[in-house]
Amino acid sequence: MEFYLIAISISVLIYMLMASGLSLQYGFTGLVNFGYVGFFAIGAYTSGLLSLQGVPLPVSFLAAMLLAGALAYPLGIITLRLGGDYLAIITLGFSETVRILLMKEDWLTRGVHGVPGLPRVFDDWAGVSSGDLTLLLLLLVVNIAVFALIAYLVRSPFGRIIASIRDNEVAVRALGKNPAAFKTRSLMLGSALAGLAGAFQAHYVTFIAPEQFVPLITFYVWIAIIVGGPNRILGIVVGTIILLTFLEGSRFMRDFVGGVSEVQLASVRFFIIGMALICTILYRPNGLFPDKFSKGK
Amino acid sequence: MSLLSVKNLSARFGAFTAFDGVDIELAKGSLTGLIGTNGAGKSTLFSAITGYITPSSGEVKFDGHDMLPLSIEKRVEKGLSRTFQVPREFSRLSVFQNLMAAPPNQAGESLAKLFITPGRVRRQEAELAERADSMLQFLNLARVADTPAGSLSGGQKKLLELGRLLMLEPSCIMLDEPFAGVNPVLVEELSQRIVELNQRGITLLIIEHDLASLSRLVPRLYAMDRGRIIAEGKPSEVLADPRVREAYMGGVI
Ligand SMILES: Nc1ncnc2c1ncn2[C@@H]1O[C@H](COP(=O)(O)OP(=O)(O)OP(=O)(O)O)[C@@H](O)[C@H]1O
Ligand SMILES: [Mg+2]
Repeated sequence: MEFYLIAISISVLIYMLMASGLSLQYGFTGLVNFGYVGFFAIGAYTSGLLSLQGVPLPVSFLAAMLLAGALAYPLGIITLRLGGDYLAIITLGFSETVRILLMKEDWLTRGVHGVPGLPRVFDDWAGVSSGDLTLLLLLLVVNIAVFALIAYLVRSPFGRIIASIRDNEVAVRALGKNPAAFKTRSLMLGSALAGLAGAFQAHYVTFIAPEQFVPLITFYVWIAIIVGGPNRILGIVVGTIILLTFLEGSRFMRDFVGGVSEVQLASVRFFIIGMALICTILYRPNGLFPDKFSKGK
Repeated sequence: MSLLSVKNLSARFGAFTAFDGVDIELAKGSLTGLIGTNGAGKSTLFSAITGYITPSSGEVKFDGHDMLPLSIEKRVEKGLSRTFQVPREFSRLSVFQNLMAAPPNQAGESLAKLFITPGRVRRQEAELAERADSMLQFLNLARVADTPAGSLSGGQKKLLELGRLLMLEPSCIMLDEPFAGVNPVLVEELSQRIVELNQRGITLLIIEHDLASLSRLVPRLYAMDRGRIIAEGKPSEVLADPRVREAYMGGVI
């Protein structure tokens, strides 16, 4: 039970990192990134492959963040001048391209077989059992640091401009500021967080394969921030917990009910997620925890 | 000396001509009105001058610079700014934050400076906050400083948009119907503010349907009809011009 709690908490905290990055992009800037999992994959593979070459984990984690953030730059440059809708399509295409490259470039990624045997974060000195607990603590600290970072950013002049862009991009241009430059930075920051989450995931599960990075993951993160409320830190926290509780809970449900196949279960899951989204949008359009100015709208 | 000079400017949308062969000259420090019936092309002309649409031919010079190759942002940097007929407030930001968003070159807009020189960012914020506060006083918006801009009344949004522009300290302001939806008392007050701005050396061009208030405010008027400038001069002369009277269907003025 204790192991299980630690394991699920680690998953929650990895998802929470992703939710933070996506909420920076969507909740605070209004960017619709449907390819978020692509940056998660880049982070996982970057850190995973580097660590197998003997690169120390702190360095490989940093590289994962930097590469994921850097890859957002060209996407931003290409699409953010064109306006919102293009970003959604192009990012979705990006994440699928990443996944297909991971499948096809065997020489680097071992293709569909995936890469096993990645080093775990703290096992060298903490041992397997307390390693997970230490990882959990590290993730907790990282998440809190990220929240502090986001809180500082959104209250800063930078945060004011990205919020202005979300509200009325044309008016931002009328003030002589170039929205694309700000949006690109927000996109890069959020993507770097996905990269960091990917690195944590890779070295926690110790195995990475392209099938782990399907678009469904992107939509899980979207659901977390939409249900919780995309521009409140409390929304990020609660939304992620609800999501993971549901994902784990539905697994239990199968053990409980019995005779349900994995495929059937997946369909039920989709159904419930769809219903939850529809209900949220109908009854709590700004999430469970809307920011103070979105209330009542 | 001419600050804004528009020569032979035309804009077409497919077969439709929004305006054609428009010439406008604004002297530095001048205060000018632009009138015309609905659909005459006034707002579209503003959009062409400020870079929101690309004119099909003609020339726009501001302070000696050719404006047409420049982006919207670059034109604003040169000092040419505008408001919109339909206010474009940052609806989820407070009125105060709307004003704070405007000033150019804020240190805190750079991610690097936020972390390397947080002290400088804080000092600058404090300075800007003072300016924003006095702007709120100036525009009678102090009472709603912390209200989300989206829930302001139509007239208050117009004031806010003007205030946001003034935070930029532009040298030329083009106002698109600043009095629309503003109550008569406030129109008087707003006119007073506009005169004060003009006395500070700011050049203004104002689109307005409230002809009475406008002709009291500005010494010079342009009149537009169906995409062309049909008259220019003193308000009394322009409003007496037969073409203008005809455009307004005789009775209205
Ligand atoms: N992007 C566009 N595409 C097609 N037609 C346009 C476009 N922008 C403006 N027009 C047309 O140009 C004409 C002039 O519009 P404009 O908004 O400039 O009028 P206006 O003089 O500001 O009128 P009002 O006093 O009612 O605001 C209108 O017939 C409008 O439909
Ligand atoms: Mg108009």
